[in-house]
Amino acid sequence: MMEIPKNDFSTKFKKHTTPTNQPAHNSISEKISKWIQIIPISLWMLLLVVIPLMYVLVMSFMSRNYYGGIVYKFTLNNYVQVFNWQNLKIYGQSIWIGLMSTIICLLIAYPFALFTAQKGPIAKMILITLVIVPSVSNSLVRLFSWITLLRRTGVINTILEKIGFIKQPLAMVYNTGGIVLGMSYLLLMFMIIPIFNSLDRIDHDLIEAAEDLGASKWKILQEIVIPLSMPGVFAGCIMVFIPSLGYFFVSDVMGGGTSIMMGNLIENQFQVSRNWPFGAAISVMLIVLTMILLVLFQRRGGKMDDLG
Amino acid sequence: MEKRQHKSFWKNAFIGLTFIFLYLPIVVIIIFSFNTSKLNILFKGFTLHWYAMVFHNYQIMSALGNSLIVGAISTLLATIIGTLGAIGMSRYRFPGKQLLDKVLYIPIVIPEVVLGIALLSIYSLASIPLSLFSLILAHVTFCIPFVVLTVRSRLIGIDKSLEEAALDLGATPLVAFIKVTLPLLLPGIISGAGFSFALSLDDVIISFFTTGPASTTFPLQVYAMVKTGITPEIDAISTVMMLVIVLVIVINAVTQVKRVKQ
Amino acid sequence: MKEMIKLASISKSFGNVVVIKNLNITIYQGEFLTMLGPSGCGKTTILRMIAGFEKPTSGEILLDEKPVHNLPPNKRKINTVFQNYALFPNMTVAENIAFGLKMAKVPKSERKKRVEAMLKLVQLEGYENRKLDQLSGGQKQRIAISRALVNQPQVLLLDEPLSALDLKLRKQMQIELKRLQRKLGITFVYVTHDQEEALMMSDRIAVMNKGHLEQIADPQTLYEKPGTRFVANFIGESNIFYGKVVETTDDLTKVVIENGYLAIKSSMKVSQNQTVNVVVRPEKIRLAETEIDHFHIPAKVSEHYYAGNVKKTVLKLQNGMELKMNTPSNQPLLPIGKDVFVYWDPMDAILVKSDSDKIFKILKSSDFAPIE
Repeated sequence: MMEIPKNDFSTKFKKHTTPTNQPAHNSISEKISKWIQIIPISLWMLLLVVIPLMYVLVMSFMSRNYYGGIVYKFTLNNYVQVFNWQNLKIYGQSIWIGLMSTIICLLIAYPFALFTAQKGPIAKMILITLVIVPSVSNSLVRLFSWITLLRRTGVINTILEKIGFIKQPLAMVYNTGGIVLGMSYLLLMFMIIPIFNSLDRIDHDLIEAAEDLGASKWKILQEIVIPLSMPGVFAGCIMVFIPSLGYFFVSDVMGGGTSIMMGNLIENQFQVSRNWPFGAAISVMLIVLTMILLVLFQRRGGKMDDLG
Repeated sequence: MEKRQHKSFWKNAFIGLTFIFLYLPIVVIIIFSFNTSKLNILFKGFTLHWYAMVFHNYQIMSALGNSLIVGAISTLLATIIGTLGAIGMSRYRFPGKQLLDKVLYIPIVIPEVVLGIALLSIYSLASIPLSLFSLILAHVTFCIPFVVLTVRSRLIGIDKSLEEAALDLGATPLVAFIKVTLPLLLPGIISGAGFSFALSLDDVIISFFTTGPASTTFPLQVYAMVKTGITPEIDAISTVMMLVIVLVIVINAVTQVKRVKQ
Repeated sequence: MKEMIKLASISKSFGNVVVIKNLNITIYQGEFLTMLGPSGCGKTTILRMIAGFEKPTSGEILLDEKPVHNLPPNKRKINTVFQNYALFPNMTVAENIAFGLKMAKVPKSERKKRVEAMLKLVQLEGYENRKLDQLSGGQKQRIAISRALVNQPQVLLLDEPLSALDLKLRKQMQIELKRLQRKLGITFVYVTHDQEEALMMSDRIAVMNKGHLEQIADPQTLYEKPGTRFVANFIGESNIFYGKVVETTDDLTKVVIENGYLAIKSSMKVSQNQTVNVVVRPEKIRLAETEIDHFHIPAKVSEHYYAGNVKKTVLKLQNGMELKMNTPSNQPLLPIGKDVFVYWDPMDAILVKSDSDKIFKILKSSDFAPIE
């Protein structure tokens, strides 16, 4: 056989030495620092998220006694109750209100985010900051402002009546429309931010390339901008729709007791009617619904980080 | 040229209208905080009366005090736990890491009412009385994920070789972290903390289930008053709070604009 | 010569992926050693193991005859210049350079002096209080080098330090780095994928391929006597013939190839019928109008390219194989389409062990080193 002499090749077929053990930089202090980083968060999430939610699941199969206490006896009654006609109507109403709010937010947020993304870097930053600023003031106080403005004896009705524009005050709040308004108002920011981020991330070269290839502004929007912003749109829709199902105080304040939503139904079970197992069962349904939406979102290529 | 100007006018008009929608309620709050009439219907005359009144309203002040205490402690705890967690998760592999990563999204995505009743149930099971303590536990829980997200997004932007360079130059892992990584991480940590504080201060739903009658918070106090009507005192204190927060944001924004300009 | 670093039977895997296979390299004191190879060949992993950022799966690393493979990076008298500089963005130039001294608890006045000295060494006097974003790429590179040198390491590791610079600055920095290394006499271990850079700067080059060492030698040996087909291909341009030995005399080895035969003078012992690779550099190729003794490689002049100091010619053999030939610019070229016979001085060809048993396989154009 021909062999070409090579400096360090003679050892090529020497036996492998046994793997060395733990490196020094995996020392005890390194281990302690690892645990300090990982254990608090893991324990906290386990004790205050995982276990409570598991307990809700367990509770949803339990019975209750006459005083509202939980009796550890397996039953499916709560789920039977979940699907009774009256409750189904409430879910339908909740979903309807959630969808309406989501659509309104989308119709406002998309153009807003699109026009904002076309501005210079400083203008963008200022505009987006201005979107967030209202949310730092108390949401209930802001909701009540809408009541002040829109109720029968409110600012707008009073003004309109004074100038003789209307004879009868308009019913603008304390109805389903009022709830949708309140939801859209409080959650609009959560639609604007992800859509803006996804639009802002679009490489400007793509748009120039499309222009170069002869696409009109409208075509560019249709073929490039909108498809590339879809993850943001999906994230925004989820961030508006899911919380809207649970925002019981909005329907409380803005609905005036006209429409009861899933959130109110759960709240009632834990406060007024003291039927925790039934409340737990509705919560489980809400979790399942959330999970289905999230799976759809991820299937569509959405990233969980966009939901922050 | 004319057409383009025309277009940008409509775009700006749309942006303007959106801001009117967002800020109209806030303008109302500010206006009525200076209104002589107790009824929030029409502006009758200018007064600072409510500003003086609210600081003597024991109920509102103690609720606000509770909110600030809970906000501060929760933010501090969530920031420490969340920052350490984000760093640990980016560095190490450990059993259950994937699960933890998923669990962190739960408080962000599930309706707050579900987390609220889940915490209430577990408090009742573990016989933890509803108090400021239980409230703080709850607030830390929903703040941690937001801290992790903001810190993590900042961590991704930090070149891993920076810490290696520090180690290479003789720093211990702890010193390398404190001298190099932490300063670079700080903006993320601060925004995570700010986010947490804002969330905690404005939380209605989870607090609704996890606090006791003796430890009511400002949002819950407002919630109790909504049925009978919010007094101008609330408008006044809200205006003050907004002013403080806007001031912080403006200072922050100005420094950021300066950095962008550089 | 004193041994500075010894890599003894080093292997490294990440999970199931084997990155380094049983590697043995000795690096001597004051040497400029370059790890050269295509991306993914494991050269950076070796550097990171020497620095201490990665631990070998098996094997030993000796620094100055003491095992260091279990020491963390902060306990090794080795410093690194990182690919993207890895300068601390939250510190000034002086704070960056002084970082290592601060870690070593050098007193403040001493620190100041040494930082000044380092800045003088890299010709950036007076830059102490500059912020990093006020520096150009070349300046950042110099700061990174002085930061790594300030602790007077026994070995300096450089991980493709010039890859982020533009061509002109890179050429200038190559010379500066080489001068610096000669002046300081510190052992440099340099990683690059740029063969020209490696040839120019190194005392010795270790050519890596797929996690193993192909050849380690000084630049001239590597270029003139490549030990493997990979090295012949990777370093410089080459034409490689597959063939079978038909006759060996004391003077000449005759090799038959597809559609012809050729001759070569080699000290390597080969036997009859053995398959071999014959490497000929483009500048060694010669053309004749009539056949030359011992050679029969008919070809057609196919294309000419102008490349500054040389003119490049592509020759087409009958079997479709293409040969590269370089001619000094001042010499005339044969017209395109002309039939010629290829030959060379038998001394100028290199015999390389064949790693394939398939003889007379037509070389695909992808087997050529890219023309640069």
